[in-house]
Amino acid sequence: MTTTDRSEVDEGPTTDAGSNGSKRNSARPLVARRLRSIIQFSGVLRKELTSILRQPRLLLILVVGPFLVLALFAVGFDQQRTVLDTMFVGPADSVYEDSIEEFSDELDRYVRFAGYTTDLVAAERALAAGDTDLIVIFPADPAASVLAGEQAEIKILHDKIDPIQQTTVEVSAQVAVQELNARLLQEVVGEAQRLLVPYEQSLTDAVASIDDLRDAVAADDDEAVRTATSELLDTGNALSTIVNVSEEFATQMNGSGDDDYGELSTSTDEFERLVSDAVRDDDISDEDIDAIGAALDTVQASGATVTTLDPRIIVRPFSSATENLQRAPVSISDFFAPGTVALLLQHMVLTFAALSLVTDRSSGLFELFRVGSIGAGRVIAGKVVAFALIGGVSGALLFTALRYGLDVPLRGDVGWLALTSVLLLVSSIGLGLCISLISRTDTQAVQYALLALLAALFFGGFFLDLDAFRYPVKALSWTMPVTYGTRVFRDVMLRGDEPALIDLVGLGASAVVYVGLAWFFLSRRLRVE
Amino acid sequence: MNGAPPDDVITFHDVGKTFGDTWVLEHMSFSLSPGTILGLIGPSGCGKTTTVRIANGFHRPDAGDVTIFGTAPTELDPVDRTRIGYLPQHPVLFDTLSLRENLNFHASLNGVRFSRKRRVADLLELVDLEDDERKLVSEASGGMKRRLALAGALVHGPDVLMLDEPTAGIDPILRRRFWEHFRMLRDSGTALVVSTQFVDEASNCDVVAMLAHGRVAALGSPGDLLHRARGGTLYDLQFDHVLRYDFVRRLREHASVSAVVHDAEDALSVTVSNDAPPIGELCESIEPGTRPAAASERPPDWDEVFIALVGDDASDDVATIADSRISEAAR
Repeated sequence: MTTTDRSEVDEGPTTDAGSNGSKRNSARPLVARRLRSIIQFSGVLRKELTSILRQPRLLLILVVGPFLVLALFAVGFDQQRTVLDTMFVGPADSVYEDSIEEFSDELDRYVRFAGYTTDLVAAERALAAGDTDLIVIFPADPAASVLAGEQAEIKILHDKIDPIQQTTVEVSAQVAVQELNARLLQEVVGEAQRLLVPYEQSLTDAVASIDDLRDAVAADDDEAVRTATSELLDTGNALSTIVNVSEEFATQMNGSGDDDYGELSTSTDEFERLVSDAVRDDDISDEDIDAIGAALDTVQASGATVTTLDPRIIVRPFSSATENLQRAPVSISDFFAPGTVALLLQHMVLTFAALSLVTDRSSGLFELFRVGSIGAGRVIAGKVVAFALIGGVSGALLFTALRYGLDVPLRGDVGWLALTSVLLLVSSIGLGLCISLISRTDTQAVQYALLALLAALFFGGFFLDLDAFRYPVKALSWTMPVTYGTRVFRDVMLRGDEPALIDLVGLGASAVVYVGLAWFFLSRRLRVE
Repeated sequence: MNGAPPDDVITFHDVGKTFGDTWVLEHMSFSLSPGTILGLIGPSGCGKTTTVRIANGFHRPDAGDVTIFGTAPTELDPVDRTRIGYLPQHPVLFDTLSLRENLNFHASLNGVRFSRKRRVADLLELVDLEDDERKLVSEASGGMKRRLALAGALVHGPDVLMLDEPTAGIDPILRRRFWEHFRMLRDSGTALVVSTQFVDEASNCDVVAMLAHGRVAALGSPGDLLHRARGGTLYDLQFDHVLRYDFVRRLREHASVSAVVHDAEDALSVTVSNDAPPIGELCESIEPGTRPAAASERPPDWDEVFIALVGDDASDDVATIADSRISEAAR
């Protein structure tokens, strides 16, 4: 049997039972009080660390689990799988079938060609069986609709219930149909342009007809003169039509009239007028023929550009060229990796912290805290440091595994990652401790932690952009440490930038607020009733 | 301060405590000196735990004054708090830590720094757990946990030890060892407050407070309480001859005798006042030559003592005590 010696505890309190505690306290050396604080803090720290480290399976799940999930995601995710398998339904031997087959390579950018059929019922069966994602139904007689002054409707069928997939279907279908429209229109315009090609020939013929007219006038051959003037009149009409079409196109494109087309139109009209005068004039002079020739020269000079327009340009005058200012492309798994680490770190330490104080309370430790000499500050400090250490090591292992295991880029300064991780961990632990102090049971604490995870997924910018939310709901995003962590990790890892100051300040502020609140709540809990 | 004598470690003066509208403690007064064991005895719900919790500063009293080390418990500075050792009713232990680690944690909470390793080893030996120190608490038996929890309350060498039902749920052999150790601590100057549902544990205490319905029904040393309950000292007398009726009648009428029970022809039970002469001389004075061949003070029956002192109001309490003892036995 052994009894303990009071002199070995703390500053060696007196054995005078009736003496005043506060007087003794004032005489105690500050160093000894600090030392006791450190011992108490380290006791809580060791207890939390040992409790977690004694569960190797838990640690394995915490570190290896997320890495495996990301690895599986990187290996298994195929962005091409998001292109929709599409069946086209239309009349047999129609222009659609030829167009789709001809442009299937182009269409593959939007939808994957799964066949052309005339059997709508069979196509709907395939849709119901999941063999195809989309059915595009062409109208049986589009010409009739168009000639009746109506658009020919192309119907799209799908059975998606996911709003995001529905949007994908609508966008893909619209783009594909636009592409098809453009292809058909391109054909039509090309055909129309082929009708305009004689314009060049007409100019040549007109020049020849003028020569013929000059010869006929010189020979005083009235019949030959009439033939030549008739040919010139036809050419003038054709030129006038082409110029009017082109001028209209230019006006539509520019939103106003074009001077070049105005000049061409004027010269064509002048040419047409001179030819008409010649047709009516029984006595055509050489001066008249010279005037017609000069007008034709003007038309020829002004109209050259009109006839060389490419029908592809007329149909699709605009194209886009996207340029990413980032150094290198980011794959979808790379994009989600930083957010995953932020989410994991928050959830891991938040759950530890949320369960920690609840467990302490249910085990009766709060009773010892309240009766004993340890204050709320040392309890909070011990837990924050313990969980931050566990989270820090887990985070470092995860970042390393992502960098060297999945080749996720790390373009920025590792120091920023470390600083942000520490702030993220401390802030999340503070939030977890607050949750712990408002929970009555372990089950409640776990439920709150899951709610926090769900909120982080939806509002933390993990897969939905923060700008998609309205205030005041958006404010919820800024209350979660993971929001700042995700932004900073993406900036540093993927962009190679320094973190935005506002993110670091926000994260630091949330750490101070949450840890401060936890201290306040615990102090109240430990207050004597 | 309340003018308490300087050698009293704990004083309760007319203390009351309410939870909601219910007074769970009323008019409780007692004091405790260093080197004394105070037993708080009574059934569940009689206020034992609340009394302990008020004494250690967990609860603030709603009436009366309480001091510990001359100061209100709720006003104690952190260092004086380390002078209190507290064993709650349910041991505060952590399943994922070993026995030694749990003890180390308790030492840290109280700021123990010097020779902690030796102190922890000594205490593990004291509670007979030195061979199991690496065992996790989750693998320990109930008795081992109680012993470890007791070591946790002792690890910082407190001046006052408050033990809330330390012997609940442990076997009689271990209970006896606990009490041996409590007495040893007392002898070294430690003041102990021990609550228990086992009325017969009163005999291990220096001062006993019998509680019922949140009040102190009886307070005193075990001997005092025993005499008070019996109205004196109860002797069992054995004679070597058949007693004459006249002797018994005159004995019963003697001023120092409060009760005589004629158990057999040659045996009597006699209750005498504390100022009575020795029982042999008393018998001789009544009838010369009549002297008991054997006389012994009857061992106390603490259940009867409790009933006698606490009175009819305690009938429910006694039933509760009996129930809890049956439960303990079943465990």
